Amino acid sequence: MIYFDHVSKVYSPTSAALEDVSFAVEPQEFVSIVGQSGAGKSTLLKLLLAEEKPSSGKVFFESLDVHKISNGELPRVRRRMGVVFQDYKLLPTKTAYENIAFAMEAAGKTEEEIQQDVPQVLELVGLMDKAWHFPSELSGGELQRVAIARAIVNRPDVVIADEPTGNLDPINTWEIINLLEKINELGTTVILATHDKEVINSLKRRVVTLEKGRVVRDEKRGRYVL
Amino acid sequence: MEIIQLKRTVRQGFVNFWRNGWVSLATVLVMVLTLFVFGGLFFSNVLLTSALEQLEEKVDISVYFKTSAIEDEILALKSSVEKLAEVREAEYISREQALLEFEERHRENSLITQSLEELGENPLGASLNIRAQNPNQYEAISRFLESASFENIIDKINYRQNQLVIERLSQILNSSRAMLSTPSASPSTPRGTKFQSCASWARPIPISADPF
Repeated sequence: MIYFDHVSKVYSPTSAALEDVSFAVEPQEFVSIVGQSGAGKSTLLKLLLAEEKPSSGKVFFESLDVHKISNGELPRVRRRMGVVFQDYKLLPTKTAYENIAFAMEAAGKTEEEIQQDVPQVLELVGLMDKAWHFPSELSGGELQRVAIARAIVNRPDVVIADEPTGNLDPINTWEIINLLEKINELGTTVILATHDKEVINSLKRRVVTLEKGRVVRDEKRGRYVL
Repeated sequence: MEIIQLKRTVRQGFVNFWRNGWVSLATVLVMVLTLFVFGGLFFSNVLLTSALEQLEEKVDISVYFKTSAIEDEILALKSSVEKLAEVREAEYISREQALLEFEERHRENSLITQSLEELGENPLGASLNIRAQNPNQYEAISRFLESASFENIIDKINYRQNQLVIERLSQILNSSRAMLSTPSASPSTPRGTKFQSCASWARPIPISADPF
């Protein structure tokens, strides 16, 4: 489904963010990408989202080379990927419901679809009672759940979570991880970038370990080893 | 699709307007005040300009002729005056017309009516109302009329007796115009050319020889 083919990314000649990275992600797989800060996890995800161009190599989403897609076509491909960020990136002037609805509006969904799907997804993340709360009125865990709801509301093929638990306490961290597992069980591919050792060790899913821009380990039921 | 977007934009606009109530209220208030101030200024400008234009229309000087003056001489003087570049308009009022207007004006006053009947002849002289292109030119027109060649037919020119009033009014009008920089004034009219010196506040009626 996703294939990184000998991808390198060089920001400055003295340091490479990624170096000859190759691996594939299968449909409905749950892949954790681990590594220390600066190992290249976020760069890898940005290359997949076509926010950055690789210095060499190719990134495929299904049969499409994401860096050869025209600017007009790119949003359509990106709509098939839901993204969750560490800092949530919710709109502060919109309520939880409106933040999720806005993603659907941007995707061109009708009012009927929005009214039907947003409550469902809010129910899934357990925030139905806080649908009309503003981000400033929600806790970190709740904010991240709204962000996940926004990421999955358009039914993407893959959810990309870039350190989604970085700002959360252990209880909220587990709630978010459980939610991502639930989403994965419902048939969505999940790519999770994290450096949380406990999360990785308890997930017992595939782990791709990055070190100084290189893939040093790729295990089916991996552990956090650095 | 565009209709849905428009609908969502409008709806979101109203929602945000309501959610930021105080800011919205303050913004609306500032806009209302601004529009009110600009509207008020514009309205005042129009009013003042209109008032100035009406005032200008009433400004002229009148030349009163002796009752002995022959009409041909007066008409010759009129045509000489009209040839002056400074003169915009010169209106001749004959003795007969002056008498008719006088009688009309004092119809209710039986004393004046009886006196006129007893007098038996027209005591009023003819007159000439002159409007200049520019208020500053009344002085020159007045000097032209005061020249010796017309001395024998002219009884009185009312410019001198109203000179102070005219000059003061001119100053006020000039100041007002400078302050306004009137957008509603006719662009084809050079600034000041419509401005008249004031010989009388109302249109003068030639009654200088009015015995009453």
